[in-house]
Amino acid sequence: MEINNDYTFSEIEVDTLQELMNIAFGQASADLAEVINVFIVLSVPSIKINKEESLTEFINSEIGDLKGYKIVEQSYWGKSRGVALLAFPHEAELELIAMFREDADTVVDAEMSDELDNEMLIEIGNILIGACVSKLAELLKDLVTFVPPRVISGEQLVEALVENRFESETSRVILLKTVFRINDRELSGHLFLLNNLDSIHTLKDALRAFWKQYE
Amino acid sequence: MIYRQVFDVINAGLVILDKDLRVCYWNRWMTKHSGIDCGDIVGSQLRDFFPDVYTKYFDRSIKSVFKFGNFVFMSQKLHKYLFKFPKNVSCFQSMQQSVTMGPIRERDNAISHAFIVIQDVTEIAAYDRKIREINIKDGLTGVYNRRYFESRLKDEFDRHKRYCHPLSLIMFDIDHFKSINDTYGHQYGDFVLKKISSTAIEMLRVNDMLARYGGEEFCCILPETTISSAMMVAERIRKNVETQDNNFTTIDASATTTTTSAKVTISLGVSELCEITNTCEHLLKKADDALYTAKREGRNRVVSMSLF
Repeated sequence: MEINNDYTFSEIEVDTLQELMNIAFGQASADLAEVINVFIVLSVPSIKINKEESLTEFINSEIGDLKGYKIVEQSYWGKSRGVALLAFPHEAELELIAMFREDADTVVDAEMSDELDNEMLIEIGNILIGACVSKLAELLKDLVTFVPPRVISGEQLVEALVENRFESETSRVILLKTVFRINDRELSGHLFLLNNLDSIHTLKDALRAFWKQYE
Repeated sequence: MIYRQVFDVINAGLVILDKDLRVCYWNRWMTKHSGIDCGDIVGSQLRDFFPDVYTKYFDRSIKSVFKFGNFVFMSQKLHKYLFKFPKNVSCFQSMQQSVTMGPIRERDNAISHAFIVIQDVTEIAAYDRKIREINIKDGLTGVYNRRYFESRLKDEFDRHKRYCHPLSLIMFDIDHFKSINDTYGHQYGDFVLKKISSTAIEMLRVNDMLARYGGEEFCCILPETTISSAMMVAERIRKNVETQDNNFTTIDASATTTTTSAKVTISLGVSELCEITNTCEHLLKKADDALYTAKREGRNRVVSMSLF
């Protein structure tokens, strides 16, 4: 049997994936507005195939400087394995927490405030990531489950990525990126979805199935 | 339902809700802790039995389960509990819970129900609190320890600098503490330390923070406070300690009829965040220098930092 070594996307595949993400994130943001009462604008997503070992560098260069960033990290399983990284700069993080805390029922204890901030970020991240990933999966006729998210600092990203190694034969990952902005506030962050490249064939099949609808 | 054989013996609560948030299943653990039988609650709105469960957070979470198929992990640290069940463990009066919610799908993948799993984490939360306390508090006086003080000072310092809000620091020290110890013994010295801490705490606001900085040295962080207000607070503490001489009376443990009483005073130095105190260390140093001046000028007094 011939092994398919085609680990690249054709132009039409990239366009389809982009289109899919656009639809998925559009639906996600509409649904998010209903669920959390916050309108989130997700930018046109980009797709890249990256070497696993240069991921941190890439993410670092995408968002400027990872230092001072907090990242919500959440793994998911569907037909393929993936990790979502939601990164906010410190100021955005504080504003986001304040926004959600307005309706939280907890009184904040100064001695625990750091920890509670993290818990809050985890909750926000869980909703945002869940919305985007499951909408995308839905369009690809896939079903994903999630493990509980955790918060890491920008500096810890390298370790986290090593820990989370995809052990893909190709040591390459598919990287989907979008920038989100919240309401009319000057609040933005990045969402990265890293997928095991071993899943590329499943993904290609799903993409083919998707554009067949329009043929 | 054959799964009931498992669901009814697991050591966790399990509730299944339909899209209208009517209870479809309520396992035995839930019955045990709520006193409500499965048969009584099934078919009813959860709200009718537990109106308190319907917080904005719960609403957001359950919607995201049905809408996105999200799994929601509700932490005890942030929410304490979902269902209020009585349980008395050290500092808690209610059972502390860690909760997971998620979707249940039909064959066509459509989400028809949501499950809620409730775990009792009261004991763990109590240990956690205990460990945290040991880690950040001084065992003798119960005020914060130096390590925690330093990390809080750094946070407050950064915060106040960023927002250009005032921040003051009071550093104080018990006068002639060594001779108190030598004359009346270390147990009495300990008693004085505890007494001074509690006297100072009474003079502070909730957001102020008192820590034992060294042997007989204490430090207070006063957020949103200018140096003139901090001087007033410091003076109040000084006066209260000074006029409290009868309160420094303790019953001698070995002979219950005799008492020990000493005249105890404190010296205080006050500093404020400004151009010349642009690092934490500098802010501390300025308060420490002022304290040293108070000592040199005859003790039992408050001195404000020098502006040079």
